[in-house]
This record gives sequence, C-alpha cells and structure tokens, in this order.
Amino acid sequence: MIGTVVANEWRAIARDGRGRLLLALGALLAVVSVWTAASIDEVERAAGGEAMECARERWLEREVDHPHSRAHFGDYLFRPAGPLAGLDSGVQAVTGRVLFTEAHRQNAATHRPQAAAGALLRFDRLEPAMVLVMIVPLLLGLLGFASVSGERESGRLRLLLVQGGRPAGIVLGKTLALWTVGAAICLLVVGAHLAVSPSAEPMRAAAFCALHLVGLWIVAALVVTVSALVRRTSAAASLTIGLWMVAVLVVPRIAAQTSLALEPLPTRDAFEAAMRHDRDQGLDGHDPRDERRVALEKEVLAEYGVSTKEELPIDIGGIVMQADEEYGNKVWDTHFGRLEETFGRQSSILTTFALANPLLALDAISTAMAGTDLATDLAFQRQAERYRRDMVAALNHEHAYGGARPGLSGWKPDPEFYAGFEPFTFDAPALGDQLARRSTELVAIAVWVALSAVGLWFASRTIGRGGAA
Amino acid sequence: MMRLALELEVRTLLRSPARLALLALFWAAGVAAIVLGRAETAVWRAAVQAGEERESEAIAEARGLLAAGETGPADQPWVDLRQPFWVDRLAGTRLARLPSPLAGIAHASPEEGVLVTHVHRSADPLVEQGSRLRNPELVALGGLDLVMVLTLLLPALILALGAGIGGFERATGVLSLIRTQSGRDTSWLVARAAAAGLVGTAAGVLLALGAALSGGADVLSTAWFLALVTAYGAVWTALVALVATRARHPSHGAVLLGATWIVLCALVPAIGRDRAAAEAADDFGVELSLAARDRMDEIHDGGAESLRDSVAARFPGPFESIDGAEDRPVADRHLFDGQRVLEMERRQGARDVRERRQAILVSGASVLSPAVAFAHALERLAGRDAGSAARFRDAVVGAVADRVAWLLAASRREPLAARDFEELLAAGPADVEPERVQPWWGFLLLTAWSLSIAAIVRVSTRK
Repeated sequence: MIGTVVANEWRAIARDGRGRLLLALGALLAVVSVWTAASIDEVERAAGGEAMECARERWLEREVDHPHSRAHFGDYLFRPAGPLAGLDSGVQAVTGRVLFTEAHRQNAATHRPQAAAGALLRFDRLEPAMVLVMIVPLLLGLLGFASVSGERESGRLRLLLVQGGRPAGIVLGKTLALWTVGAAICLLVVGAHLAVSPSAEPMRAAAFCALHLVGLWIVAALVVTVSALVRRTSAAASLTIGLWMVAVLVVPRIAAQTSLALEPLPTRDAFEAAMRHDRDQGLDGHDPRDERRVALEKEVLAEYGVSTKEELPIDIGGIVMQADEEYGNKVWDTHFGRLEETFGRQSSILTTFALANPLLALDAISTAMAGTDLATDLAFQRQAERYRRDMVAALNHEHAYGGARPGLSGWKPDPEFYAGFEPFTFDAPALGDQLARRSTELVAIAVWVALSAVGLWFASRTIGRGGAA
Repeated sequence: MMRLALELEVRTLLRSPARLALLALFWAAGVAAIVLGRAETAVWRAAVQAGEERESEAIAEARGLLAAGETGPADQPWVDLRQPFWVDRLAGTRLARLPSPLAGIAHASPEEGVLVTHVHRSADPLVEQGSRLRNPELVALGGLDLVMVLTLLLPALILALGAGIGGFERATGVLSLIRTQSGRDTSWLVARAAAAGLVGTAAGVLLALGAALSGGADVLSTAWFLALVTAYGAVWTALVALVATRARHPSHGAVLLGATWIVLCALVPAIGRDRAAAEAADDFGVELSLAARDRMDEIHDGGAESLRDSVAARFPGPFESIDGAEDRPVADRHLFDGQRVLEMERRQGARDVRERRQAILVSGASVLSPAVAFAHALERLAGRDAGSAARFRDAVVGAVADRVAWLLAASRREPLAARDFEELLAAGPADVEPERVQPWWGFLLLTAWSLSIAAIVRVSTRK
C-alpha cells in the first residue's frame, strides 16, 4: 500500500510540470551551491596556507633583533577553514580569520571573508546548508501542501478509502514520497561535495547527510500533516508558506534579537575603555617611573643581593616586561572571559528557541558537524591567545636571561633562538565534543521526530474519520 | 470590476483564519522590526552622545591644566602639553556619524561602519572594526529589521494572498462562466491579482508609514520610502497577475509563485553574494597585515631622511619655510605620521577600487532581482549602505591627514601655548550628517520590472 502511494506520488510529480519545475530548481540549486561553495572553499584553503607560510617566512627571515622588538613585530595567525566549511560555512563567514599576536595586548580577529559581499551580505549565502535548511523545506512545502487536501477536494481521497486504502498508509506513503524528493537533493548535495572537495572528511559528511535527512523527514511529515488537517488547498498553501516563513525567516531573527535584548553586549568603545582602565591599574613595563615597576625592580635586586641594576647578571627589563604581560593577561582573561560568558548565555537562549523550531536546531547541529560553529571559533581564539602568551613569555625569558646585561648595548640572541619557535597550529575540537555541546538541539530534533509521528497519526485519524472532508 | 475583486479579496481574507494569521504574522514582524530599529537608533545616538561627553571632559581637563600653567596631570609627569604629541592626545576630537531619521529601518544592515571615532595622529579608520561587539552566532542568523521584513516577507505575503487566483477559477469552471457572461475573464483575473496585491502592499505601506513617523523622517524621505514600497508591491502584484493568467489549479499557482520567490529573493542575491565572496576568497588581509608591516619596517629602517620628499609633497605647507638643515629635525619629528597618512590614503584608494567593483556587482544583481534593488534602495535611504560608511571613512581619513598637517606645522612652534590647543580644537572636523538620498535608480528598476511583467501579461493574454 505504502509503496503504491509513493510510486503514484512520484509519477504525479514527474508527469506534472510544477513537479518537474521544482525538482529541476532543487537540483540546480544543489549543484550550483556545491560548485560555488567548494570552489570558494578551495581557494580560501590555498590562500590561507600561503598566508601562513608567508608569515612563517617573515618570522624566520627577519634580521635577528632584540626579543622585545620581536615581541612587537609579533606574528600573524590565520584561522583554517572548518572540515566541512564547503557544506556549511557557519559563523566562519562572519568572523575574522586573521589574528595579530603581539606583546602587551590580546587583539581581535580581523578580515571577515564575507565582508566583501557588502550590500549583498544581507541575503543568505548560496551554500549547501542554506539549500537544505531554507530552500528544500520550501520546495517540499510547495510540492506537498496539496498532497492530501488536493486529493480530498478532487474526491480521490474518498475513492482511495473506499477501495480499501488505510489512512495511515496513505499519509505515510505521501510523507515518504515527499521525503524522498528532499533526500535525493540532500544526497546529491553531499555526494557532489565529496566528489569535488578533496579535503572533505567522509565521516563528518555522512553524519551531516544523516542529520539533514532526519530534518527533511520532519519537514515532509509536517507538510503532509498540515495538508491533511486543513480543509481547503488554498488554506493549506497559505498555512504551509506561513509556517515556512515563521520557521526560516522570522523565528531565527527573533531568536537572535531576543538573545541580544536579554543578554546585551557592551559597545566596542565601552569594552575597550573598561579594559584600558583595568590595564592602567597595573604595571607599565614601558614606563620607568611606574611605582609597581620600581617595587618589582627592588625585589629582583634584593633577590640577587645587589644594590643597582648594573650589578645584575641578567637584564631586569625582561622580568619587568613579563610581569607587565602577566598583569595584562589577567585583565584580558577577565574582560574576554565575561564576553565569552555573555556569548554562552546568548547561545543558551538560542537553544531554547531551537526547541520550538526544528530548523534552528538543525542549523546549530549542522554548523557543529561542519566545524564552523561558535565553539570552534572560540577554540581558535583561545589557542591563538595561548600561543601569543607562550611566544611573548619565551621572548621575555630570553630578554631577561639570554645574555643581555644592563649597559650592554646591541645585544641580540642567537639566530637559532627564533628558529626554535614552532609555528601556530590549530587543534580543532573533535566531532564528538562538538556534538556533545549540541546535546539539547539533538534532543530537540528527537522530540520533533516524535512530534512528526504524532502529527501523522492525527492526520491519518482525521482522514479515517472523514474529518476536514 | 476592480471594486468587486477588492470586495471579494477582503471577504476571502476575513473568512480565512490562515490568511488572517499570515497577515498578523507579517504585521507582528514589522512592528517588532520598527521597535527594534528605534532601540538601535537610540543606542547609536547614545554612542555619539557618550563620545561627545568624553571629548568635553578631556578638553576641559586640558584647558584647566593650561589655565593653571601646568604641563600635565600631577600623576602623569611625562605628559607635556607644550609638545604637539600630547596636545594631539588630549585634544581628543571625536568624529561622529549621525544617524538619519530612517536609520532604524536598516538597523540589521551588514554594513558595520564605525559610528564614532577618535581622531588622532595614528588613527586608522581602515582597520577599525564596527562600533558594536557582536556574537557571530547571532550575526549569522540575520537581523530583524524593516528592510528584511519588506524585502522578503512582503512578497511572501502577496504570493500567499494571491496563490489561488486563476487556478481556482479554472479548476472550478468559474472562469468559463465569467468568459461566457462578460467576455472579460482576463480582466477579472488581473483585477483579483491587483486586489490581493493592494491588500498586501497596503499592509507594507502602513508599516513603512509607521516607521517613518516614529523615526521623525522628513516629507521627502517618507515619500520616497512609501513610493519604493508601493513600487516593490507592484512588482509582486504583477507577478501574481502573470501567474493567475497561466495557472490551471491553485497548487500550480502556488508552486510557480514559490519558485519565483526562491529565484528572485534567494537564488539571484545568493549568487551575487557568492560572486563577491569569490572575489575576496584569496584575501587573507596579507596586504593590510604582513605587507603593511613590512612596508612600515622598511620605512623605519630607511630613517626619516628617506621620507622627507614624499611627505613634503603631500603636506607642502609645513615644509615651505624650512631654510636650513637646523630646522629639519624639528619638522622631521612627525614624518612617520605623515608617511602613515600616505600609506592610509594608498590603502583607501585600493579599497575604493574594490568598493566600486562591489557597487557594479550590486547594480547587476539589482537589475536581475527586484529584491536586491529594493533592499539596496532602502539601505541608501536609511543611510546604512556601503556608500554612507565610505563617506564617513573618507571624512576620518581627511581629519587624520589634517591633524598630521597640524602636527608637522606645530612641531616647529614648540613650546606650544593654550592658543595652539584652541587652534587645534577650532580646526576640528564637523560631524558627518546623513546624506539626503533620492533613490531614483532603485525606483526606476522596480517600475521597469512592474511594467515589463504587465506587458508580458498583456501580450500573453492577447494570444
């Protein structure tokens, strides 16, 4: 029975001009999105690699200089693209990917890749995840809103029931038929991505595909449920388009605005002014008249049992600079920590909305699977900051204990010292860890799968009782 | 016939809970967007106000010190207001970008221009980030502003209201009856489509009017805003009429209109966005990071001597009266600042070229998609487009160049006095007012779209 309904639905779609139009549009979008996203992703990976090599060369080829000069010269770090960035660019499209690490301050990442889109940035990017989360649900809605209501209006539904068709079989068959359309597009998207992206990870891609297949099942079930519960085809069309508008265009934006309203962020000006204020309370390594600096110098002199800096066997400047760094690090940890906490609370509010909107939950899990979510971006920033601190600490140590002495002008470390610095490498979080952070969204998807089953049960009961006839 | 069609549409709307819910949803989203827009504009004004207050405090402190004959605060003995370097630090001229009355309608604009900036010798508006800290997860979801509501939801509303037109008449045989009775079946379909479009467009126009009134927009801006919304509504109404003359069944109409929405509101803008992204895919900021650092290193290694000619060519005034070599070290004190301005202006030129390429891309996408044309025209009207941000950036670059010219000249007058401080303040830049925009291009494009579709309807129904 179910197989017959599925086959009939497929035949109807294939025969009907509107079905062919939508299938062609879906296939076109799938192919174009994969092709453009993959080509951009490959160019970005290659350019990112070149930029990293270029930065490394600059570090190694620079004339040997004083460690503190080198700390100001700093190093540029480039955020690598996520493992499935070609399928879902997530937050990586709107976050900076170049980070300058230097002494005395923790910088923010700059150069957002999508900033170049300028006025077009308002519109969604054509990438596989956008097609699967935004466009395919609309296609399924347009293909399926009349699946039951149209049959009812034409009288075919009564005929089916008279001929012995079971309501549950009809509903399930129509849902399956609709889902297979979405599934075909999903498989086309992921398959094409694997074919054109040599850097894609098959396991992640399989998980990504499975997730979206589940999401499309929920969408198909909801479309058929609406079609079965609504009396007229035109009302089913309005309701389906309305639900899609709510789920895809309105709720995500409302969720974002609500998160921001409930957990506001300071302006950049206020944030930086607060950090500057706290930073000014600490030791200033560059100000010889700073009281804390003078106190630290006295401490070091006492430790070495000498009365003047000139008598020290080390360069006290390196110790002072490291003390300055350590105070600054506490300030950065406090302020950036607070910022991260606010981000976390905002994300929790989004998660609450995701419980009510399966597409929002789907989107969150999708970016986590692609390795392009906020958690990955924050992990990059944390690792980059750790790299900066280790780099500056090593330079300050060399400055203090490498052989420099007060009054010994022109001292420079051994050239091998700089070659010994390992370049930055980003250790991306594992898929399991990323999914563990999205456990609420995973539960939301499971709940929605159950709800879609309940919806289909209601739909079949309505048909069985001759409701909405 | 139009009156009959309008009455029918209103009756159908009032009888259909689904349609009423859709209209209510559109209105709710629109009102929420207006409220959020007002709040965001208030934040913008507060940022400008806070900047002004901080500037006034810094100036008052410096004036107090100068009046008391002190060179700096007691706890900062290294500050010396007789030197241009410290006058520059304490003069604290802030340059603000003032919001237009319609700024709230595009508060979720992706343009993240700086709203208030501190003008000093080493300020660089090209590397500054936006005034707001943003959670990228929220940014990626998009913002709810009136531009978004009108660009994406208004067409969806008109399509939902008009999806069954034509298809319903054909499927039920009503159209044959109308043709037999009056011979004007096409006129009936067009009138119904126009009535559905009128209901949807009226909902949009009312939201636009509410936003303009609540923002305190002037009559001309309000008129442009309403004209753009009406023209955009007309495009989608014409599309509904076109589909109505073709659809054999309500579901056919819905599918055709849905596919049209996908193409015009999602596909074409997305392809445009990807084209722009592809242009910048290999831009890892190397030019602004590694290469810029190398250039400044070379400049520092070369010493001041190597800079004098280029800086003197850019800032001829301060160098005109240098007669002897003994004058040079004084004038040379801010040569690196002068060179930094030259570098900044060079990068600004490169950025202008890139933005011109973007503008061409947006124009192309505007011709292919009324959604892009409409959104872009509204962002211009709201003063939240790339051009508006560029104007502010240009003003900041100009103000920094003026500041450096003053430093170059003032370094020869050391020690400076209170009148020098006042002179610098008096020469400070004025806040950047929003530009009065008349988005003719967007309006003409939308009108051309409507007329073209109407012509197609006319030609196809004659056949």
